[in-house]
Amino acid sequence: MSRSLLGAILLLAACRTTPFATVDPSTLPTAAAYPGAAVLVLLDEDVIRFEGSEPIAIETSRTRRLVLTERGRHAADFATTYSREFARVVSVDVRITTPDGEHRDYTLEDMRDFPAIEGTLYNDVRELTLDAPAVPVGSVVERVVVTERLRPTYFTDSFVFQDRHPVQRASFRFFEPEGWQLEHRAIRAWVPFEWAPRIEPASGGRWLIWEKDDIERLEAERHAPGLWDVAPVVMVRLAQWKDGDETKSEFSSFESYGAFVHRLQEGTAEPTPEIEAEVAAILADAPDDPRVRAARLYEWVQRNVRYVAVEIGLGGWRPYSAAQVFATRHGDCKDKATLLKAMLAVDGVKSHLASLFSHHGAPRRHVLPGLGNSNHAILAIDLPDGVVIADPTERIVPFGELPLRDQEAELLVARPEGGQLITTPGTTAKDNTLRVRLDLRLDATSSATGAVVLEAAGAFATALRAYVEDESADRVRGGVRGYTLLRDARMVEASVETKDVEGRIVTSGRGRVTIDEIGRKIGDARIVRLLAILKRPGLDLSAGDRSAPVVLDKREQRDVELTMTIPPSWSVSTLPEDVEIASPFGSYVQRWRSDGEKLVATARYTLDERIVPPEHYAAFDTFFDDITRAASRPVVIRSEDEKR
Amino acid sequence: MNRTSSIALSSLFLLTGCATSLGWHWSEPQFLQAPPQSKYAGHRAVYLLMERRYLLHGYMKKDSYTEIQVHDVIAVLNEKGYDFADVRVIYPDKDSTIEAFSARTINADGSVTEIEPAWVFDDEVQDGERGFKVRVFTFPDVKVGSVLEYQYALRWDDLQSTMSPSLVTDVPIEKFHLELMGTDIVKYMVNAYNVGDDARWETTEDGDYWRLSWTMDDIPARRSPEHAVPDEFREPWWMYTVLAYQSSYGAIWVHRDWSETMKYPAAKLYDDEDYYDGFTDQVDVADCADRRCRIERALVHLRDTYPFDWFGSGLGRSAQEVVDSKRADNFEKARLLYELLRRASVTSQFAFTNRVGRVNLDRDQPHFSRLHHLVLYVPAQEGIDAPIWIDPSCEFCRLGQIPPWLVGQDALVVWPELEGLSTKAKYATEWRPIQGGSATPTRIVTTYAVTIDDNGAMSAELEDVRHGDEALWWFYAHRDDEARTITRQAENEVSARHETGRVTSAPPAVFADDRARSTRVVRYTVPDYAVRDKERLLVPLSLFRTTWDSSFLSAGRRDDLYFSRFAEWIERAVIRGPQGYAPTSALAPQKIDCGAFLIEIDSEVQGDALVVTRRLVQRPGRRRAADYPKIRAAFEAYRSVHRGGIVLERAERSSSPSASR
Repeated sequence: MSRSLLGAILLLAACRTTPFATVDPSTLPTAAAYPGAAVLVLLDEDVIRFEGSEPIAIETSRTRRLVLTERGRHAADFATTYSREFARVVSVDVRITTPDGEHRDYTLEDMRDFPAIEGTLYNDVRELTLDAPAVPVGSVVERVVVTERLRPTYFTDSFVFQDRHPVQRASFRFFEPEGWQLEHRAIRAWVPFEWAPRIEPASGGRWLIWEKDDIERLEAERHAPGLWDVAPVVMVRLAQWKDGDETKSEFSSFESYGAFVHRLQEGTAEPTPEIEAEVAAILADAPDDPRVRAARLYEWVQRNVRYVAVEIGLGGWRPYSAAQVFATRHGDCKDKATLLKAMLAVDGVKSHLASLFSHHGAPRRHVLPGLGNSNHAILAIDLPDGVVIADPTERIVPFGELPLRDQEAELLVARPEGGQLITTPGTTAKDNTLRVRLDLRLDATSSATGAVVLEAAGAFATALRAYVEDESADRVRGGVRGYTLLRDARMVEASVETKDVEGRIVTSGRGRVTIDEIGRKIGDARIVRLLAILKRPGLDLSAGDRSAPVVLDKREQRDVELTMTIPPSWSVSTLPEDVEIASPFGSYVQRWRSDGEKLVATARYTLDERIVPPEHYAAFDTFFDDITRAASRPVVIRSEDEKR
Repeated sequence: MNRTSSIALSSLFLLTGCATSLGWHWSEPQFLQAPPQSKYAGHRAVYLLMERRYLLHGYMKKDSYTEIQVHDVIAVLNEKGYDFADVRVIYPDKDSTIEAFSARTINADGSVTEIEPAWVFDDEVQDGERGFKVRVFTFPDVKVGSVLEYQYALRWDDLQSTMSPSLVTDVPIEKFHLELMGTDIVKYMVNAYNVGDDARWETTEDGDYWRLSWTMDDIPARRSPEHAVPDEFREPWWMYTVLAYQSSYGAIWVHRDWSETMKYPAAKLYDDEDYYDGFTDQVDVADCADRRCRIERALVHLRDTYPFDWFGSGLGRSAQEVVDSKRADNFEKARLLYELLRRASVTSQFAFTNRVGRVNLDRDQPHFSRLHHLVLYVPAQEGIDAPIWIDPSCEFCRLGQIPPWLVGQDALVVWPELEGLSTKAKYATEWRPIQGGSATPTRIVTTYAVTIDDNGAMSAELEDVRHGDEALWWFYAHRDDEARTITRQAENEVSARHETGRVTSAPPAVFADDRARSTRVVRYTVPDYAVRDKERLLVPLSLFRTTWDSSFLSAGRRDDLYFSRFAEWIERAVIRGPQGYAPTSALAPQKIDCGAFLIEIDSEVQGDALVVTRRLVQRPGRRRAADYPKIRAAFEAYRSVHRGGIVLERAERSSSPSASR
């Protein structure tokens, strides 16, 4: 699209009565130019202007999309969210231009506007959706959304310069009034990179413009992080503005932002007599060790305060009082952290609320100070032997450990003197271990019965406990069975217990299993493969190129020892060679041994890396391929009885 | 239908004037004790009481309203039951009101905490011109063992003309109580289904109101075993419909019979003059010798221009929206076809029905909301000697054929009739059996062309040919897939058989013109597939795989089974070894007929290849749980192919294949 056409469209956009550009269908690209794409984004633009001494932001978002194939037929559907406390949607205009030049127009009045309370009991976020009819291939769908944002100084504006569809032009434009100051950063995969905006002087200020043409689509891939975690993103915030002659700013750094959050939360963690009495009861028989005492209080909050989130306006950042949380026994992450803070204070322990972005494997970074950097609150506890970071929202995770979603994340600890940005610890393969010992006896029909013992630590232990807790015997058997790694086995009985092993919480399971048939009987032979008995480590990855990194939730180690006692008339005729696979991502060692009646397989799988960039994907895929192939190497057993 | 309890009351008295309201009370103490988890092992909560009370209040139309009172008492058995402590109430419309509300937590220590207003949130949903309200609240002080009790009453204008809720939830219910109360101008019918003999009905009169109450104890939680009989045929549910309203002019019958209940949809179908605005399609029938040819042309046009877009509900979108989207659901296709035929001077009539096994229809309790499918009935006319049934959503059916989902079904044919001097149409209805030839039967034929090399590596070509409705479903589900998605599906399919397998090519499926057949090919390789054992190659047959290989694994069963259609799955592997190798073992032929299924297994040498065949035929119908062991045993034989293998030996050593199992 030419610049002049874009300019003409912008002029048209300024006029409320005709917000749409005129589309000449003969100039539109064809699907052949964008193989595999369902939709071409002709324009993705966000224009933001600030106004007033108590600034508000007027944001005009405009997208124009061309439907290339049948898969894009729902391109006119649209959904957006807004917070009633912080924004007002002024107008939404959607125009569908079909290939024969017909128009269908929709406005805000045609949309569904409903509370977006997913994940919370209640909040002030609304969702606006348009369920437009499906549109024929060749249609152009244009959408103009004007939003008035009421407290723009609290937040950062961001624009992602990539999409699941190819983009012809993406444009992010800010008007900076004279004497005001915008702070901006460009990041890719949360790493800053240089991208200076184009500056266009204008009456009363200047435009800062980031633009990019012909952006390839980013396809959704297995085990990939979201668009935000991969694509180039520009972030902008209003750092300073003028109120008459006075220059104002909300926060200048993460330190001052942390102080702002601390003020917001001030006074919420005051203990009450009821809380004091409960703390006394909980700690009545506790030793003097501050860590043990803190752990007891942590566990009480974990188990006795039900997760319920009610977040209205700044209530998304300001907790309910500890007194209220204690009385109702419900609250969200910051409410639970606040109650724990109050209870610790009763016992003389200082702690601080801290915020982070709870992730699915790809931690995010704090880029510009503002309220949008976090989605979760936990607690930094000052114990005599150091700071312990604890997440009392988690029902199962032991004190001193963090759930995977909180690990390796940037954490902003809100102290009275200001915010402190630290990174939460991660875990290594040695922290997340699963040891499985199987002792099976095979009968002449290849069916097997035997005992299984497993020991899980770290994330494995948490997941196993979460699975079996509160569950019936059936589910406990199912949970233990899942962690035995056996493919087709029935747990006859199973039990789980959790204990402290040299300062480490270990969940162990044991039980008895039966397997209908081990190995595949062909003629007088049986083929036994580890892969057919145990679930293989690794992932289902697609062959070929990769655009986004592979992100796994944890580093881990799995040790398996499988002993099979075979009938006396059977003999092992082929045994695979030992396998040792070493790679930058981890390792795999597999051994088969035969000793008369005993056939023993041992395998150790270690994954040391959990985020693999696309350039290493082929090697990573090969690593798992090699493991799978090793685990599929056959043992051949012959039966003398069947030979006869 | 299994209707085990029913009642129909007629109370057409003259109007009287005093209104009433539903009673209001907290539960008796005996309902407020949480049972131990052991009593409901595996469940997170239990309804100690679920009470639904409906007040149907009608005098003059402007004064009519419906009020529903919900009263639940729930015991939290473990922490997973906490989700019952967060409650969302959705009002039927924007003008409805919450007439009463209270909620409290009762704990084992006897403490009772009522919900504070601060934890009750009201909000609205705006949907174009429509809107409704929601109330959200959460219980205080909830622990394992807490009993949660809440009640609210919602009121909205107009009388509800039908209700058909299920009684089953995902947790058990100890006591269910239903109460319906209405002014005596309402003549109604209520039936309960699948409730056994436990349901106790009571009818009373209370001044100007009738009252019907019904109690049922110990309703188990919903279960969804594989191949279960559809919910409406086995789980308890009830249905209420208004038969008539009494007005000062006499009784206004609304759902007394099918003709009355179909008035509204029939008028929409036959008399909505605006519906076809924007639909200008016309089929060229100039060279058609007869009406059959015109119908066939219309069907081809419909299939090619507005391909099927799955089964919808209601009467479909406007024709303009269908034209814009270039796809149509079952209702829309029937409506467009009707108009195309009308324009081609072919008379047809709309007919409502249900697909096999979907709806437990009680023909004695008419309501159009119970009919979820629309077809056309073409009566005999010039050039058409006998009536023809057409389901245009069956894109693989030829004229005169009916799809598998309508075999054995009846349809309610609806047609307009002018009576006497009236210019306004009335609508006549009649149930008629849907008749026609069988469409292409459901069949999936999968052929594996397999070559094993000296090292045991396998190259395979999987050809999957689907016939009948399976081809249409594949078309529907995959017509828009991009190349990457197709490759992923192929990778999933191959890795489910062989985890070391790698897809080498997976071109898109090819559909025959009439969508009665789809053909799909996946080529892949598997290293170390066969195992060298001295001079032999041991070749597994794990390439055989259908969803049936993982069916009927559990040892016992207490629920009946249900299979909705006739269908056939055929797998055939053509296995060739390396040069100089020949098969020395084959599979013993087996033929097992367990009633619901016929299973055949066979193998034979064809030239240098061994051909192994596995065939499964499913017969439609309900099967008793007692038949399950027989079915399971049959599938053990079925699975034995997938679990077994064959032996290839060097030709000079091999003799003719011997059968083995």
